[in-house]
Amino acid sequence: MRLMKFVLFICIIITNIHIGFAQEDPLIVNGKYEQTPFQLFVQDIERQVPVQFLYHPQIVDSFFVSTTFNNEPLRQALLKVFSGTDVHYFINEYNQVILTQGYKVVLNLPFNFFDRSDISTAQGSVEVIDFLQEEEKKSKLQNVLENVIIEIGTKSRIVGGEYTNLAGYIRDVTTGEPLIGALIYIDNPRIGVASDQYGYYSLTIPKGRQELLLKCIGYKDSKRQIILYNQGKLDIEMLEDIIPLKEVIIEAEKDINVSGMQMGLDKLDAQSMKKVPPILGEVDVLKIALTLPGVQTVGEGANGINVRGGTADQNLMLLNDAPIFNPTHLFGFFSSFNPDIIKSVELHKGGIPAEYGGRISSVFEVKTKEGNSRKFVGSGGISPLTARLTFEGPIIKDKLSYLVGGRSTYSNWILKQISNPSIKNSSASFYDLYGKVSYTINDKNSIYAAAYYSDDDFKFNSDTTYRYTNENASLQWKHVFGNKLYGVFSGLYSGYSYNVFSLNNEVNAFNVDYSIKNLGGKADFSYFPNSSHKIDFGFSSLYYDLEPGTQTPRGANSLINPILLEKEQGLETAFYFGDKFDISQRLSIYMGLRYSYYNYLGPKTVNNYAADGPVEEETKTGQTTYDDGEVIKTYHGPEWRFSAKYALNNEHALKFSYNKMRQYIHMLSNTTSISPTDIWKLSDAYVQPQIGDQISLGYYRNFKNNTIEGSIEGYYKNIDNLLDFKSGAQLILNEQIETDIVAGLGKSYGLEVLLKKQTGKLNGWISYTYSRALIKVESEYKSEQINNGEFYPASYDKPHSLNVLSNWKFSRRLSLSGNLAYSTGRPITYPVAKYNYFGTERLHYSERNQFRIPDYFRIDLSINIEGNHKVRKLNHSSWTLAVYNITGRDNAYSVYFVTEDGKIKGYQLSIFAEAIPTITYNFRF
Amino acid sequence: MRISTYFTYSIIFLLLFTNCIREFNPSRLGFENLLVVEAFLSDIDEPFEVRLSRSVPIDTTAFIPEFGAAVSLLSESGESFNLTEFSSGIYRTSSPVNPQVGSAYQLSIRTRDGNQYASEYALMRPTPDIEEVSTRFQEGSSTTERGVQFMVSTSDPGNNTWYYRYEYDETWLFRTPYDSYLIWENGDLILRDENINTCWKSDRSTSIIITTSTNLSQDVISDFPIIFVSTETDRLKSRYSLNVKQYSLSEASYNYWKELEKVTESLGTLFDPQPAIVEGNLHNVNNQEEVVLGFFDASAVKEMRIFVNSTDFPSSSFPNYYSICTDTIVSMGQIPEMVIAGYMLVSETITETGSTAYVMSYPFCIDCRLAGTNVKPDFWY
Repeated sequence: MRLMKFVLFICIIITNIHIGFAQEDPLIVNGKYEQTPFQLFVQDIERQVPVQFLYHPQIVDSFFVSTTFNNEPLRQALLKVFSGTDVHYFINEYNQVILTQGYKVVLNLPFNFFDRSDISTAQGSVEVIDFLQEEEKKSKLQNVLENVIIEIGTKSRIVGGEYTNLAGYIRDVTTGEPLIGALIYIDNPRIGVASDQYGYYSLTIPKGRQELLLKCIGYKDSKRQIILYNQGKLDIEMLEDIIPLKEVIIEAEKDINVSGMQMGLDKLDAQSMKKVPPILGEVDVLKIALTLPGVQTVGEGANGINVRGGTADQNLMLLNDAPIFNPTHLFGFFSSFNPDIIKSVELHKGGIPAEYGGRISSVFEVKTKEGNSRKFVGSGGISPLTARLTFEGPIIKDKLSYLVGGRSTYSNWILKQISNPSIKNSSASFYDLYGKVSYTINDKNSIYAAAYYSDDDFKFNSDTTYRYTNENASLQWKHVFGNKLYGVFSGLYSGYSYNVFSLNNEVNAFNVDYSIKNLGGKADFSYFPNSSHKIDFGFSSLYYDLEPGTQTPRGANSLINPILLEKEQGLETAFYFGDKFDISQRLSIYMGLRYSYYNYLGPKTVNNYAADGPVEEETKTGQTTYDDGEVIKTYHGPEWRFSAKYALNNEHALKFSYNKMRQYIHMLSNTTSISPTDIWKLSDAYVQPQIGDQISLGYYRNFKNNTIEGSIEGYYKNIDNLLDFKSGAQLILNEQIETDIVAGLGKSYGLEVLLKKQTGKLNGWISYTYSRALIKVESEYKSEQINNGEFYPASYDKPHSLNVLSNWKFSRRLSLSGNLAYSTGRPITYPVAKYNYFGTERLHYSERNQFRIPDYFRIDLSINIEGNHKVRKLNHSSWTLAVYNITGRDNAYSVYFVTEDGKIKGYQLSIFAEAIPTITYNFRF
Repeated sequence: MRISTYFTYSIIFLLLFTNCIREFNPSRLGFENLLVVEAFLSDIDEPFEVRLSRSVPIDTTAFIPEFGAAVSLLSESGESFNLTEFSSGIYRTSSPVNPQVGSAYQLSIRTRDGNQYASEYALMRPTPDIEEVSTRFQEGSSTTERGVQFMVSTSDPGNNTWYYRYEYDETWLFRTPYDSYLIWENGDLILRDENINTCWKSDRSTSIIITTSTNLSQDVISDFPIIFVSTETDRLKSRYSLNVKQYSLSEASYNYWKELEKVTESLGTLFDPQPAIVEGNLHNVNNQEEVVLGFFDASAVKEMRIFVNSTDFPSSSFPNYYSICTDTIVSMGQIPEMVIAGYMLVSETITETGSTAYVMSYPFCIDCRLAGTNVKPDFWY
């Protein structure tokens, strides 16, 4: 904001400047002034030497000069006059003295006037030149900003090589929204950081004249000229690349692939997501994530993703730092995240930083937009199945903004239009709502409050009704303690609950409820001690409150047994510390430790079992009762995180990472894909925490001046205490669930190859993954074993997987996107014998997952047609025509056998067996 | 009332998403040759029968009986009943066992290859009477068929049963379009004294029908669906009878049937369970690792039969399996060649010209015995 005023000021000055001739001679002034009004002082000086003062009268409104000059050079004299004030001056080559307030500036220096030694001798005096050139350019704001020199910090002698710190926010110039992951760096020596989720950066660089380079996805590259005297602040605003179709699918920080430390990290932003062919008219982050290497799913429309051989419950799905328990709508066909509110998505598959914990396979972090703090805007979209609408705008300009978004399906309405009574009585609907308020109190304090709610209802032919809801809320306060340290204090809440009821048969009319709630607080600090360290530390505490299931009768005639499973409670506390250390320009390491401490808390009655035997109903010996708040079981342990990067040169880098994760909450599911009624269970006296260890090694290479990024990453992961279930386990409303649970061992490994082209008319990525995910459930008791205690492939084990995603821009208004997906068919359990049992054929299954369904192959295409490209147009709109599965291949979801009329029949089930065309209208106003 | 079972309905919704189910010919990927034991001890007054066979690869249709085995039934109290091989793989006691409610029985098998198998003891359980077999007419729609839902209700005032299994057999009356009273026999016309126009056809349950009242505060089964008879068949066209058999199960046998149902009848949804070995209660005495297919169980049986007529329900159109039937009018002289061509005589008629002629048609359109039996079942009225 201040920067804006400043720029305006410059412009005023420039347009008022008269052209004169350069004066090379030293200008010497004399005089004695006592409370002389500034105007008179100027007249006196202009009389003595051939200079002209240019200024806004406001600056010197009540400015009086009291000083004495005795043959003093003009520069030195003026310095005397203005010392201790916020008025600065510069003298251009036409001997014009231009006054500014607040900032000291210089237009671009064409000759190499300014090296560091000059700064020290010249006492920071500066020059203005070349405004003619500026006039010619008819420069845009950005050009001016890029070329003016900004002085930062209080002036002091600059000792060569001394480093100091620069911090501030990077924002969008139009919306005022903070930019995440914007890269700010200097070239020599090469030092840079990416802005964090609040758009904040803190950079430690040598003092003196520097050129700051800026890069951010979806924004024009920019730069700033600074003279850094001392630690200071600089807020930077970047201009969106407003030629929308020029955008690439994923424009990552161009050379971060090689120069960055991160591995196993995929970033997606809203812009790039729009270029992926939509499914059922919706852009779906979870579906896009499936095109990334190392991400699998059990099948089309299946709920949940499997990252590097992990189960679906091992992904920490975060929305504004609070977990989301069920990330999908409608059994998995839509993700819970409204694409209009998403700013970016980060998927950490490996090398997970220490601030994250609680799930062992990945972190899937959804960052939402902040409301536009400058003007009111709206956006939305309409497709055959869903509609969405988002509004955002300022409440107090540049300080307080809001964003509200909603999405709903009208499939229910469509069902109701069908005259068929059965379908008419079926229903399936969902909606989600999101709201966020961002308040920038001042430079040092910002507050963010966000809330999310999603609801799904479905019912089949008036029988059983299902409903599930996600709730999520966060309140965050960001406080900047100083340039080098800031902290974020968060209060988080998330909940998931479902309800099932049936009223069809009075005697059996029932109601089943399940809920899980998370209440947490955390404090995260980022500390930038010097240019080679970035330290993150903090602590968090997360309270789990589970209602594992209640069953109640509905209606007076219902004989349903009320069942009320005892509440489960747990407290997970963790502290962490991580240091990213640039040892040399080539070698950087990250060392982190997270220590998590988990207590399973009473009140609760816990079953005891004979020590020397399987945990079974028969071996139950009694019960122990624990009081409210009493610790039933404690688990704790260190979670080490380590990564290292060694840059062979600017285009090649080797990276290594290791991380250990602990997970105290588990999803109980004995179906191949997650169903909405699957439940979460806390670690207790019998269910041990899952522990994951992963090492990965990668080679990163950029080609063609960083326009093509390549990487090869290999990983090996080991998972302890992976949950599995005895056959026939009843997971819902089970008072002795521990007797049905067995602990397994997971092992996965793979090689991921990714090639990304970020720019040009044709852009996109190709990823190939070879991976295996294996599980072993071994026990001394046969009843607890699966596959005789040998490794078997997990349901999402798909060794070969190839994804090609590309976007071809024909013109500014027309682009074509294509997506190709191939993977090995998933494993299924296949019968090994057939037999006749009381007149009916039955099948015998033994070895789990030893057969594979046919390979999966799909091509999607979409055409995006934009409205016209006037930036200032009132209403921007676009049409997306998409065809999902254009070849109409009936990819198998499963191959299964059923006994019908006494005979075995084999079937193949496909979810989308035809090409599915959809049309979506998106608008922005 | 288990929630997970309701997810099978999700498939109905998914039909809206143009999903597709295609038949698929299974190929053999592995094979385990296992002993299959079919043995159920009930209180009906018949010899106790055990069938032994071997499992076969899934791509074959063979049936391999396990012959030459020595099979015996032992009671807890020390009684022993030997079974003799009645036909290949089928073993029977010489007389009804008359098992005592409250006694436990064990099955012992020695196969001809010398392996010794034994079941766990199965308790002979009583079964409460069926209280009612009720019906509910259901209007049709594009996803549900029009027809009649038959349901069973029962209760155990002693609250001892809790687990139930059902079987049914259904019988319906049907008629052919031509009621023939003539037979062409050895070149002569003779009167038919047998009714081959009205027949009965029967079918029996093949799927697993089990339920439990453990979810309720009382041992009550209310309107539990047994069979849905669609008007897409002709079963309800005139008169239909359903006989429901009720057995009680132990918790272990309930779980066995439940698992068997899960892995062989309820797959094909989005949320399929992992198929797994269905563990029975028979073991190789010397090798606990060997899988034996089957579950030996004992229970009293209770039956209830009901009759319904098409007039009991809103009128429906039924498929006419005889729509292809036509008749041909021939003269006496043409009968032999028509008989050779496969026709049957229906009746005598008079042509427009006043001469005597004969109505002939296909046997399928005349002789109901080709599709059922013309012997009226004992229970029919």
